[in-house]
Amino acid sequence: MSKELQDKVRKIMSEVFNVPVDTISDEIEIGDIEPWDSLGQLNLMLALEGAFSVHFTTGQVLELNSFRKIIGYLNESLN
Amino acid sequence: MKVCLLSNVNIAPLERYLQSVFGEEIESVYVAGYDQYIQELVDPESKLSQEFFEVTFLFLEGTAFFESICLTPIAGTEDFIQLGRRKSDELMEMVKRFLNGREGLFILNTIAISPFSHLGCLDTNSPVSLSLLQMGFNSNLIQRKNRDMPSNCVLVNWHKEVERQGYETLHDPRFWYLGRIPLNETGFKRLAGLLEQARRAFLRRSKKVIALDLDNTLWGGVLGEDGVSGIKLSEDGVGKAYRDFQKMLKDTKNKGILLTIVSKNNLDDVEEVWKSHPMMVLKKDDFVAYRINWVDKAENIRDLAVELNLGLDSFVFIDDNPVERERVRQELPEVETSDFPDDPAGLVRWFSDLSSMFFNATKITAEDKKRSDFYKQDQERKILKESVGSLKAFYKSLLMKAVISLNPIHDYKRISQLTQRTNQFNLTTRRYTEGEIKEMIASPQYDVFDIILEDKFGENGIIGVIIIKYSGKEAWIDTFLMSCRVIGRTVENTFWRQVAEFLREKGIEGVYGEYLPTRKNKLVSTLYDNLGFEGLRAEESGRKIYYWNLKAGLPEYPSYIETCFRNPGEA
Repeated sequence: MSKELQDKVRKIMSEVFNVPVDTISDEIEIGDIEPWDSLGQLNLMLALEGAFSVHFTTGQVLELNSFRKIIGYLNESLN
Repeated sequence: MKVCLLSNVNIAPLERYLQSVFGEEIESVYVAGYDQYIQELVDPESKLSQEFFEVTFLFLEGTAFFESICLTPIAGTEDFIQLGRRKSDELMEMVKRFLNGREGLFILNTIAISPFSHLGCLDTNSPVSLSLLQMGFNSNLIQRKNRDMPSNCVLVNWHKEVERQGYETLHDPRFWYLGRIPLNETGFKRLAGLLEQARRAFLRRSKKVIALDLDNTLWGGVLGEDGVSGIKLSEDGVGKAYRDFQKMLKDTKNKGILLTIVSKNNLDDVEEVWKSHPMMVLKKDDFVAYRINWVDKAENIRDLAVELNLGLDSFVFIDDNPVERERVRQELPEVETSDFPDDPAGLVRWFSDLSSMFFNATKITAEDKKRSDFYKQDQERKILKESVGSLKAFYKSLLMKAVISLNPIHDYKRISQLTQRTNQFNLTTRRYTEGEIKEMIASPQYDVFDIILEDKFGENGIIGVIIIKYSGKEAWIDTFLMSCRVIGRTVENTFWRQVAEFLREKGIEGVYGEYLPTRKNKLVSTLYDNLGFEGLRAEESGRKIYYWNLKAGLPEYPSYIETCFRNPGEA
């Protein structure tokens, strides 16, 4: 996992959820912080699609709901 | 700035995009509950009704708004165009009732109904037409807005934006099904951009002057080399692209933006183009000033700013030559130096975007239409000034007539506009909305004065405002501003004299004046000293307080301005 990718995702998440970057731990997932509810999930997916020029399927939009899963998916699709 | 977002769908993500467009300006964003816009508008207890928002945006998503019809139009019974009209009437009635005297910008949008339907040719060959439904709704929306909506209600053309960008580029069915979010990243960005433009247009924060190059900008080719008959400017071929661009510029002039030329050319050659080129849309008269010479362009623009009495940040510089652009960018960063299309075929598209960015407006006033003429008359005055010996003789030769009006209720729009736009000759730079001006005109706490100036070259329109706030036997000059067009003609002395006379008759004993410094109003930092006020104190912030004792006397005024005072109470 590249550090650069992780940092970029962390930064986007902190912006979308309006929390400090260090709140975004490696283990964080949906429900762990208040702004990351089901609507927060959609907001996050919108932002990630814009930032990485990727396209999630409707299923992925729901499934990619933890930091690990997101990094895992982006690593795979960007390489 | 407090913002409220209302919608029939979920536009919570828009908040983030607004932050990036408006930045620090935004204090807070209230996103009303999903599809709660009717409750917010109608319920007097709602947050929208109870609190003040500088900007409220009601976003209507067309397909969701007509959801019961969009997927099953063939089962529909009502005439679709009538249905569209009726629905937009209902909406406008609701908004109108809500606005009823309320302040703050209220933005609505024309709707875009999804073009994905199973209707095929039926859409354009039968009454079962979603296109008709959309047109009926939108056309009535625009008509209503022009007919009977207050001026703080502004309509943005979302439908046109969707046409331009493409429906699929902006909408996303995944987020729609998962969270009733209709738009994708690009969609929200474009929407936020439209809102920013609408606000700027509403506040009239537009640029005021275009400085244009000539060769390969207003026509194709180089005049000095190709000659008058060789330049590309015609009704066909690539020459038409330049002609079309000139037509758009002419219209831009008609909405109140000043045109100037900054070109490296021989003036005689250009005069020849004006005189004899049949395809030249922009005549010599359309430009308020020009610098056609071989002097550095940055220097020429600086010179024009002085001549027109406008700040450099009022200028947009248009030139096809990247070297000239770079030079002006470096030398005059305040000037907006825009890129230029590589291919003249792109001129119309490029200028339409530039226009939305910098010359946007929500209405055109009578002043706007005449602005260019006003400035040209100023130049004739300047020529006269050079030919007449003393300053006093010059002023006298202008045959100035001033009409000062007390609480001129019909002028509230122009007065508000002046408070919003005047930066240089403005002692306090207090910005007022039309509603606030109306309130002050009606209030016994305040008196509002404006001044119209006429001279041998024509009418200048309303060129100054004084607002007085009373406090017992004394009063404060809340606002004192003059249009920069008349700076240096001692009109302010006449204006102040008339107001002072009125105040004394009213029984006021003394008047306080204050100077609040801004980046732009240094011009008037000593105005009150010059008018003869007594300086009371200067604060660390730069604020200065002055006093005029009316019992001790009235200010001097120039004898060469004929004056007339209109008091509606005495009419």
